Amino acid sequence: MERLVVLVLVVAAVCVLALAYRRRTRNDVADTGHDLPPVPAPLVDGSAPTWVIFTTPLCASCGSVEAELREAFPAHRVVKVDATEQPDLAATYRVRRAPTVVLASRDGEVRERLVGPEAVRAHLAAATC
Amino acid sequence: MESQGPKPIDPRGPRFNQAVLSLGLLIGFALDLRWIAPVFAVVLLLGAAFGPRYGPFLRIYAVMIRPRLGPPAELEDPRPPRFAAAVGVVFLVAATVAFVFGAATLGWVLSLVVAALAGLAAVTGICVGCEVYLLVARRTGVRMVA
Repeated sequence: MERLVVLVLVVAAVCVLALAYRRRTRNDVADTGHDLPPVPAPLVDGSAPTWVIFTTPLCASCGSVEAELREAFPAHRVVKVDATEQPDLAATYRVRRAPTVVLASRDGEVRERLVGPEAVRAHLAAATC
Repeated sequence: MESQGPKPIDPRGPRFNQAVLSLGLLIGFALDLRWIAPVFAVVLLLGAAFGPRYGPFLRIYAVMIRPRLGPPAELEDPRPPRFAAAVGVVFLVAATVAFVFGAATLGWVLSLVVAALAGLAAVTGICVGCEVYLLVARRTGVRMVA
């Protein structure tokens, strides 16, 4: 009986943590970032809209996301920021997962915030339709 | 990352491995099957030490499950999950030693920690061991470029 109780407690703890994580992830993906502060220089240099890709050293999909953005928007700038090297900047843009991509206008205003490679690809698919 | 480090992997493989590990340990605990700890320690060790090809459940995933699925939404660096598996090996070896010396409660506590973390990773992708790996890698200056 005691084993059953412990088992239930362990499973319940995992379920609670998993549900909390999933809720946070959903909220993160839905966060379009329109209330975020302007992206600062030198990330933005005023010459063109800029895609800022927040990466981490172990982000296996960040390279392909960068390549896809460069190909889809050749006139835009694409810059990468290591979120682990610049945690304050990452926190400002609510980066919790890599890649998190922020599209900034020429003057740095945040136009879009995309979380995860699937969101970037969905955005690209919509943009090319 | 694109040109450095090992080839990225399908993250669903480690997650399948973690799900089997978690379920196995929980069943082992429920039925007081103390041999489950050393068995899974060996299973994890094979994958962690020699690569996914040698992990039994990773192999099952690659051969029997993955062909039936579409491509993964994203790939992941194999090093963090291998490190996490190595941490799991340490815990399960410690649990085995505890069982051998009659400290069954300690053995099961260690095993359930692995079960809970593996279960969490399997369901959510949260990998505590992976986070530890990143901290260790940064401190030791392991160069990994995204």
